Amino acid sequence: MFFPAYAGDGQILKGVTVTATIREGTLETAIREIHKITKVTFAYDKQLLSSYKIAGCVFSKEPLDNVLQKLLQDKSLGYEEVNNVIVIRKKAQPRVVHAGVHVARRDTVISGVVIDDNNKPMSGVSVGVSGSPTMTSTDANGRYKIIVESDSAVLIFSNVGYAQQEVPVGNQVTINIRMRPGVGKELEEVAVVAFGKQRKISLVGAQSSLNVSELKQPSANLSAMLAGRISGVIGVQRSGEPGKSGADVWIRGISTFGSGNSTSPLILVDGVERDFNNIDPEDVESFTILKDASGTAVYGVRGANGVVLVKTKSGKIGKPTIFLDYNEGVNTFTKIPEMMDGVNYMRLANEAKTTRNQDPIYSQDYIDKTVSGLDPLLYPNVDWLDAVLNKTGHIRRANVNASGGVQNAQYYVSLSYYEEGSFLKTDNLQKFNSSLKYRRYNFTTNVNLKLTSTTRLDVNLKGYFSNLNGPALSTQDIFQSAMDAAPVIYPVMYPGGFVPGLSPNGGFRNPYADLTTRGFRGSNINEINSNVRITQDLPFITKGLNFTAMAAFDNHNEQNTNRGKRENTYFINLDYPYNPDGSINLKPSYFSPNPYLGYSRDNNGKRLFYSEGAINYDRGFDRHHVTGLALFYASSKQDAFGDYMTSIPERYVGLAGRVMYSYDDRYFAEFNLGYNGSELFSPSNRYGVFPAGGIGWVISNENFFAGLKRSVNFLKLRYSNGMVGLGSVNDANLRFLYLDKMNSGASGYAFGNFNGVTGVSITRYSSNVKWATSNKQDLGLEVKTMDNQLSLIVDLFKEHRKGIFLPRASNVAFMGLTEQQYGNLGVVDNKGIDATVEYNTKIGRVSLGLRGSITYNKDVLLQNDMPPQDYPWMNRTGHNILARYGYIADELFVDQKDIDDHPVPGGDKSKILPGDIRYKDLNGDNKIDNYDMAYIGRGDVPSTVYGLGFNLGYAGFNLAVFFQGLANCDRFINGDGINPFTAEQSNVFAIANDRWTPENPSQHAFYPRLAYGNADNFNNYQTSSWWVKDIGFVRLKTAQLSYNLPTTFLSKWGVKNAAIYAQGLNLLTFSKFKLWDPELNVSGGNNNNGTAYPNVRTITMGVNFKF
Amino acid sequence: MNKTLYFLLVISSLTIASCKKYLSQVPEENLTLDKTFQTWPTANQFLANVYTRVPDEYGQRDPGGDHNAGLWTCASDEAELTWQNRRTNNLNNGSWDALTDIVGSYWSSYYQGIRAASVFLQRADGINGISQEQIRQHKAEARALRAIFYFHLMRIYGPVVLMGERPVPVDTSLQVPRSSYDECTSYVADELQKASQDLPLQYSDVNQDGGRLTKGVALAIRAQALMYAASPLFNGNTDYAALKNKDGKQLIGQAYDAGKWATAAGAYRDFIAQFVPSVYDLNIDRTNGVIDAYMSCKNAVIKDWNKEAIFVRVSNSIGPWQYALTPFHEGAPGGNDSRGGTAIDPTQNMVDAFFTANGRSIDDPLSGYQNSGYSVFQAPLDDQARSIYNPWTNREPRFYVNITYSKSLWLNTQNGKIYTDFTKNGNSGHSKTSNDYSRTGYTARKAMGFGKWDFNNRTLPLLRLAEVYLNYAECLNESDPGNPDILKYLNLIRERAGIPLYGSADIAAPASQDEMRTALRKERRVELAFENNRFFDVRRWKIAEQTDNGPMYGLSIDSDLPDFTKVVVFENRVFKKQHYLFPIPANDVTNDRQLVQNTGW
Repeated sequence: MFFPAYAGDGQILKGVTVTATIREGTLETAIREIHKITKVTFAYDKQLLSSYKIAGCVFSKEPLDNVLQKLLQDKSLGYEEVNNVIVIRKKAQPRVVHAGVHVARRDTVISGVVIDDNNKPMSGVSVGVSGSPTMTSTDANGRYKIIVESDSAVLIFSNVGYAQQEVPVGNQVTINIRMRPGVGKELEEVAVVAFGKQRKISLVGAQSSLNVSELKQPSANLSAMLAGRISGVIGVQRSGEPGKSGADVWIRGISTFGSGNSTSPLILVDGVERDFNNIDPEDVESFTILKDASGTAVYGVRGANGVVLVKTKSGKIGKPTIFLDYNEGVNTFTKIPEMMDGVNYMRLANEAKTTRNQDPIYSQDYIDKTVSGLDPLLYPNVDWLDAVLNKTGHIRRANVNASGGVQNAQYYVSLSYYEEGSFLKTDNLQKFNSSLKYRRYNFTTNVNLKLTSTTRLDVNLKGYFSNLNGPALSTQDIFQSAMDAAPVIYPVMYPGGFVPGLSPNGGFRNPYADLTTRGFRGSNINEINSNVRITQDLPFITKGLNFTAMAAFDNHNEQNTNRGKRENTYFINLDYPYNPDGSINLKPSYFSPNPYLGYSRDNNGKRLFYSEGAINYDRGFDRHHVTGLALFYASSKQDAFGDYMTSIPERYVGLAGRVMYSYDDRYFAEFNLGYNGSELFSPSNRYGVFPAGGIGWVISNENFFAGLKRSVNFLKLRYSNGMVGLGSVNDANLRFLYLDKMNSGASGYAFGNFNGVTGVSITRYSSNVKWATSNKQDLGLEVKTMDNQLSLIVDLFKEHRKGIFLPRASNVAFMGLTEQQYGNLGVVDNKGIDATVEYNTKIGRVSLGLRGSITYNKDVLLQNDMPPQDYPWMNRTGHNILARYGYIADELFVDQKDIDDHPVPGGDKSKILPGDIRYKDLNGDNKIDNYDMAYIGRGDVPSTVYGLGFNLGYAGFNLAVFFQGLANCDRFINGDGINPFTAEQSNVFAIANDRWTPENPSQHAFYPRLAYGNADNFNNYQTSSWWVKDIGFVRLKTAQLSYNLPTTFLSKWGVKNAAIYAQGLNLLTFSKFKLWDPELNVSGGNNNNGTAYPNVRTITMGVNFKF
Repeated sequence: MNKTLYFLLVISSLTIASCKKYLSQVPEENLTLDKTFQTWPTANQFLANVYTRVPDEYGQRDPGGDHNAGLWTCASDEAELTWQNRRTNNLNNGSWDALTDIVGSYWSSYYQGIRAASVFLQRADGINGISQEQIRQHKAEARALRAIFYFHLMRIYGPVVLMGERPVPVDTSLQVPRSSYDECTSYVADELQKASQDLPLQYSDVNQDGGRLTKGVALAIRAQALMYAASPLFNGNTDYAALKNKDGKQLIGQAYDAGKWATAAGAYRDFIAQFVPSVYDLNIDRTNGVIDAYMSCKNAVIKDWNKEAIFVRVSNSIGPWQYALTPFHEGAPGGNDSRGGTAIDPTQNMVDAFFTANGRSIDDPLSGYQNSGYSVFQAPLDDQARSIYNPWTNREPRFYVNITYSKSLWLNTQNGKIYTDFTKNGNSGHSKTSNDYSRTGYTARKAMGFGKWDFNNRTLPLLRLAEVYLNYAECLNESDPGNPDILKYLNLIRERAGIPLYGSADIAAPASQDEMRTALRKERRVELAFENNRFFDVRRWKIAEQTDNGPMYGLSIDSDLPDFTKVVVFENRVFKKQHYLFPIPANDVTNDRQLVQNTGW
């Protein structure tokens, strides 16, 4: 036995007697038991001791020395008493002292007290020495003692629910610490990485994780919570419709273009490709995004757009904890379009005609009668959005979960309910329920079992059932018809529930009737996800080696039913509007072919089977640390509800490997390799190799840095470089591009006596494409300063993606191809920066946390297979991927001479008047045509996303506020309503009051001179910069005020913790764009007129209890 | 422990062993190009898809598409389309350019047909189960179709790119120039000549194969292509002096060559000699031995497989076309059967072009035309005399075949008689419908049957013998004025139309070449009204700057009688020099550096 020279006098070992019944278990539990009984402080490596089995035994007034001797019998462990602490550790090997190298060694006992926020001592806090297995924990009074071998050692204090702290020892012998709360901070010790976990300090790649408590917001979809909170994510929420409010999320922007090429990241929930939107936030343990090649190369052809890793919670050893959370609130729209009232609508419609020397549409008499409002049936004046929208909707959420466990088994079970109602109106006259409501039930069961001392089994089962009820027509349709219908066309309803309508073919649909009378739809979605993992340690082969295998099975099914009808419409008989008895005289205007509820359905289903097997190696040798991973996986996903092609399963197989080496926690190197293939490509092109490497340097652990360590607590530089692939397509039509594609249902012809022959045509010739590859580089800097209160992580990134598969834009139409051929043609560069800054401090009883993040990317299209254009401004290359192109609106024509002097699109000036838009003739050929189309906007995906939030705590109160901002994005507005009077009798936005008129010939008016009808509006509604509007915004995304009830008050009810809180979502928005919610997307392309379910502002109140 | 390990190793090795097949799940049994040409049924389907590009001129509500629906009727001075948001309006008001969808639509669709025909020609020899002779015939069909598609492209875009015999490789970026118009014409003419040798004169079973290409179709379109090449637009048109390839090659000949007319006339002469009357003849219906001009003219278009039809499209958009021809007829018996879109609205310019019953133009003092007042008049088809606005009385039969005017009896009397009324408050007036009212106070009737509009099985004549006669007469008049055939064939048309023959006691024959030209153009305008000739005729004659530009006239649709009959301008149209030809789609001009744009675009 080797005992250090300074061994104490053995007072405790000899003086303390033990009376105890030790049950069979591990050595660690036995020592803990003895500690509990004797109050003697022990110091040991918990993991080490846990690995020793002991048999049960009984001690009666035995000296501690004897007890330990008995317990440690036959084990390569020794013990000693050092300054009243009993240290148990490995029997040390005789130290080899190399010639010329003198290792400064000064074993010192450090002691101190750990207290919490309220200055109360904390028991059970782990205290360890960085880079060595020495470990202890604090006693009931918060005291600890630990031995360090030199004054360059760093103590690590950690506890569940608190921020980990690292303190350099220096020449101190007493170190007192205050632990600060920080949910999820235990993960800082280990970070989630591809196919596993890794010590955070050893990361060489760029990844960021989210404080999961920030996910708990009144929204059904996690994706809506990400933008601004997590650096590297660009996210936009396109709709607020209950059950469909997921956001579009990109990691470090978009680096791919072309139809079918997915821009979305790979999302893995518990290691399997799954949607994360329908997970209850309470069940999320960690949320991590992998941004660079070193993190994603192992995913090969799936990784180029970044990877999102979501892990659900699992149980922890300890007494059962039950958590209850309930909240309820109201939602309303953030912003809805403001439409023109009927009277002004008619005045403007008349102006649109008369300002171009045409006869007005509405007579003064008609307008006057509408103004009077005396006969709204004959002279209607309707705000259609008002007619279809209530002021508020309703939202409710509840979660109950229980967790706990013993040494060999831990569990986490959770059940959640989410309900969101809409603010769409319903009609009491209808016998069916068309109210738009979304409900979701989630469950999660995670069980971790230790089958033998070296075998673990983890079973994870979760899923959800959701139900959506709503009007038969899609909300998009309803909002669109609200834009189509003029405010004066007909009233909301005629008395007796007769639906007003004008057109004999049913056109100019009544928005209110569309919403309330046309039936209802239901959608039920059930999804089950299951994971079973078995892990076998292989110490008998070599230490640190284990084998793990996982199988996952998911099933998703969806039943959508629609019971729809269309009612006959009526219109007032203008000649004899009222019958002699005073009742309204209606005549039918449209006979519906389906006046009774019909039925249609649509089923969908998916199953996924995933399996992986891996060998892991993780071992430290002195200052060297080596880990390795070799993994095989296969994934098959099938959606059998499509057609012949789409029902063929999507499959991946692959190998992933990783080798990591670190030295002394100062130098880190990592190499990753992905080798995988997918069914998309021809057998000769099916597999690819994707290598990536990275290096890291923790400068603050260098000896020369010791002097600076007090001011800069942590400093790390890292760099990674590697290749990732992208072989996934999101368009089933583009699968199997290596095969000829024939269309056996093409247009045909008839011969003779109308004998129709269905056509067969070549849709596409085979082309030997493969995946796109992306070279990614990342340079990161991590700094902690001001006693670890301020931390900063900055990453610079650069990506070069090539071989993006695209249709050959250089192909001419006269080649006669039905679809353009695909090739690996596109090249994109993307670079940018993302950063997170965090500051946590405490001033007296006030705690303050600040967190900010920013993501900026600049993507540049380098090649898209378009030949050089005639003029430089026509080139798509050199601009960002989603850039918009069109004419550049110069200003509005001033006078006839101005018109005579400048060309107009189409060349016909007969309809052009002052106040119409004048476009720049870029090539000076005195024509406005495609040669004058240039870059006019970036598109609706921002280049910059930022967030800033703070947390303020005082005596149980906590206020958390988060602002989110998007910048450098724009929307091209067009469509019915926003382009007034382009379609006859369509609705008009109130902003049409801001227009050019001869009386007020403002160049800054929102609209040029009005015109009525398509032809007269031809000039002004060209795709031009005039209609590109900045949609950048800053919004108060969330705010939460909570109060933790005093524990003393609650403990008699068995409640450990209770809080009440109020939270709000999308509370305030500041944007130059005022027409509708700036984030809101509509059906894209030709319909950017705000016709989508608005984003919602939600305010909820809630309580939670912990038992 | 060891058991677990063993189990895991077995499982994972099984998984890895099966991984090669794991990704090879490709649908081998799917239809491929090779398989398509192994059997006749699928090869026939492929050929049917080539045929699909034959223009479906009745589909003018939605022009373009893979059936190349025309937009010609309402984009000419014949008519106006009621539905204003359609592409015809862009053409009428000048708001179109090389980016307009319809410009690209015909271009790519015809070229898709050309490629598909070439693929068929390349692979047809391998078809099993049919005779070599049949293969030869089907190849000739594909060859003729390909040439016809080129001809359609040339009518629209002028000189085009000739793609050669074999389909071009797909993974290339073509950089090829246009061929000159004359080169295109001779290619088309040669190909049609070649194809005609293997095409049958007629199909033995018209119920089985009617509508497939025949010798007659190939040769008639060959003559038509030659006539276009002789016409002023493409023959010595100095407006296109600047239309040259990058190497300086002139695309439209700058020297007028009357010999081209003679060539075309020769082609027509041969055609008539070969096919008339054995294969084709004018459709003439007689009542008691007397020509029933009204029914003769009507049946020439609506009677399937009548002898006048040369080229017909069997499947077509007759239903939508008849919907567009049917007036709104609010409250009329039969409901939807007789309630239509009131959409193809003849202009007053067109209405005035019809002769009077004595075969004269309305501006001829001898015509007896009265520009106001009402008379009691019984129209053909009507069973009683009624009070009718004078300008619509005593007109030639073709007027009644082609025009629905206010107070005329509607064709479908199955549910009772309907008298169409376009006055403001009439059953088809503007006050009754905001979408489906006539913009001119008339609707067209060409190809309207006697039943309900919702009817789908009637052939669409794309080319009939009457046009061949008129084309022949025109070519002769330009190359050999005074040739007696000119008057002969013109009078054959007039005879069938039930109006006095030129040179008869009632009306003198046109004296000079110019007078004959005028007479031919007038006759053609009414005989072929609403049959998609006028749009191209005014262009090839280079008179569109007069006919398609400026005011278009109609009646006062927002008035009731008596003001309704006042003729007013309903639209000012825009036609500029550049509009004689469509622009080449912008994208191709950009991609192919050798492809020059048409002058003025």
